[in-house]
Amino acid sequence: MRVAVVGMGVIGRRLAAAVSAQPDMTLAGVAVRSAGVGVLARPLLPYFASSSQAIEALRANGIEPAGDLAALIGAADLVIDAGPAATGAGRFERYRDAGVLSIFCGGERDRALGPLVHPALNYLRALGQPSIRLPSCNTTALGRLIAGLGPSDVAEIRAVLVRCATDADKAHKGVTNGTVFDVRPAHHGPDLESLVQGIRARVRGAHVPVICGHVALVEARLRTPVATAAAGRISRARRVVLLPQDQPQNTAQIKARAYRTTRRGDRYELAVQLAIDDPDTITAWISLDNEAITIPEAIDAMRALSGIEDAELARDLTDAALLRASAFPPEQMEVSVARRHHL
Amino acid sequence: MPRPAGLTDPMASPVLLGDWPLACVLAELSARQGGRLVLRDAVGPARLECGRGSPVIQLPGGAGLRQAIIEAALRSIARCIEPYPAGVSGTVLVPAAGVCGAASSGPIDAIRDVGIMRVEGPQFAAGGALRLLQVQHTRCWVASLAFAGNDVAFCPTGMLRVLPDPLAADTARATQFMLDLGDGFYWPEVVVGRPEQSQPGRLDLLAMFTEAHYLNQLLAGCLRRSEGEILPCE
Repeated sequence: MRVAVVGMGVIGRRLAAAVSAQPDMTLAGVAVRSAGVGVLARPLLPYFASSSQAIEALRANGIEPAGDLAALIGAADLVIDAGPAATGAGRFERYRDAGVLSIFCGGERDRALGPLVHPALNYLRALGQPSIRLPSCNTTALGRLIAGLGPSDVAEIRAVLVRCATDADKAHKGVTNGTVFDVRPAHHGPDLESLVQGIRARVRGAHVPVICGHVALVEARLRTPVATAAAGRISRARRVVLLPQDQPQNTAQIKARAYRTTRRGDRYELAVQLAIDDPDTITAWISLDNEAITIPEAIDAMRALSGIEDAELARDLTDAALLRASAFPPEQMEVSVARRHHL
Repeated sequence: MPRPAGLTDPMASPVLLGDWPLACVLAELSARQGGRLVLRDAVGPARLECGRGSPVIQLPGGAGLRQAIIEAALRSIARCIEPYPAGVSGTVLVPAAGVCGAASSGPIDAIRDVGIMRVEGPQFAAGGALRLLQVQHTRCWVASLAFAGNDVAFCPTGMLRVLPDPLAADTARATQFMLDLGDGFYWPEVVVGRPEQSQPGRLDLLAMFTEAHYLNQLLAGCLRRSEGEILPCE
C-alpha cells in the first residue's frame, strides 16, 4: 500500500517514520507547508509542497519538492492527514474526488470526514470505509485502558487529565509557571461514548508546563464487582505497561527511560498504575506519550482500511515493525524489551 | 556511530565499580557501540576499570562531574577554532536534572548560581572562567562562550555540528532536530549556532551538548588505556 502523509509536525514525522518501517507499506511522500524541524532532519524524504510558500521554503533549505499536494494524492492509495487541527475538512474533498482512502488524525470534529475509529475498540467499523477519523492522544489512551479492562464491563469513566502545555518542539506556547484548569467537560467524553456503546464518560482537564507526557487520573466504574478480573485483564493487555503500585511514579523518569532506550524517546505503550478501592471500581493513573501514543493505532487503522479483517494480525504486524524501527540496533533490543516491562 | 574495536572482546569489557550518576547512560552508550560495560556494586568512589592490567579511571562526582562534562565540550569546540584560542569565558546553563535521574530538587521557576568554573591547564594559554547557572531545563547543556585569540576562525570538524539558524534559536527545536536524526536523546555531538565575531580577537558562539559527548570520550579513553595508549589531552 502506498501511503501519503500530510504534515510533518509532531504526528506527521512519526507517521512518516512508522509507515517507512512497515513491510507492507511504502511512503509515497509527505506534504508540507514549510521546512520545519522534521523536514530539516530528514531532507531526503520525498516532499510535496502544499502551497507556493512551501515550495520557496523547501528550496531555501536545499530541498527540491517532488511535486504538489495533487501529485502526492495521485501517487498514493491512502492519505493520512496529520495537518493542523481542524483543517482536514478543507482537504477532504480532494482525497474523495481522487478516490484515495483517507484517515484524519488528532480528533477532527467534522463527522463528514467519516466515523471515529479506535482500532482497539471498533476496528471492524473501519472496514470498507473510504475515510475515517482517529481520536486524539488522550482518547486513544483512555480507549486503550477501556479495551484492556473489557469494554462490556465498564459502565462509566471519569477522568481528570493533566496535560503538557505544549509539544516538545514548541518553546513559545504554554504557561511558564502555572496550571490552566477548566471545569467544562472535554471532548474526550463524547468521543468515548461514540466509540463504546452504552458507556458514560466525563473528562476534564488542566494544562501544566511540562513536555514529558500527559497523565490522567481515571476512575472506571464497572457494571458488576469484577475489579480484580478486570485488573488481571489489563495486566495482559496489548500496548499497556503496568507500573508498580507501591511507590510514587514520575513522568520525567518514565520519559528518561524511553530516551535511553529508543531513538527518539517515543513511548508507544500506555503506562498504568492501578488501584482497586472497591470491587466495582478501578482507579488508575495513566501516563502517555502524547506525541507518540496514537501511532500504533494509526497504523492499525491503515491496515483496516486496506481490508485486513483480522485485527489481531494487523496489531501484530504494527507492533513488530514499530519495535524494530524505534529501538536501537539489535544488540540493544534485549535491553529495550526488558525495560518495557519494568518501567 | 562507528563501532570501536576491542570493546566486544570480553577480556576487555570495562567494569564500572560503585555508584555513579551517569552509570546507566554510559552502559547504554557502550551497548549502542557494540560493547558491554559491566556495572558492579562497590564501596568507595566510583571508578572505571578499563581492562585487565589497565589503570583505573577515577570517575568524578558533583562539581567535578559538571567540570568534566563542560571541559569535554570545550575541547571539541576549541579544536575547531584556528588558531587554537588563547582563552575562553562565558556562561553555562546546567540542566537541573542529571541525565540518569529526573529532577527531584528543582530549581522550580528559579535559577541557581553554581559558581565559577576556572578553565586552566595546557588547553588555553590565557586560561578562562565560566559562570555556571543551574536552570529548570532538562534537554541539554547550553553554553554561551567567547573564545579569545588573534584572527580566530571557525572550522567545524569531528563531533561538532552547526545548526541552521531557525533551529539554533531555542533548545526545543534544536533538541527535537537532534532526536529526529535518530541518535537518541544522548546525542554525541556538540551542537552550535552560527559563530559570530562580535569584536576583533573574539569569537562568540552558543553551544548545546549532552553528557554523551563526555561519556563517549570516556569510553574511547578507556579503550585506549586498555590498549596501552597514552591520551594526548589528559
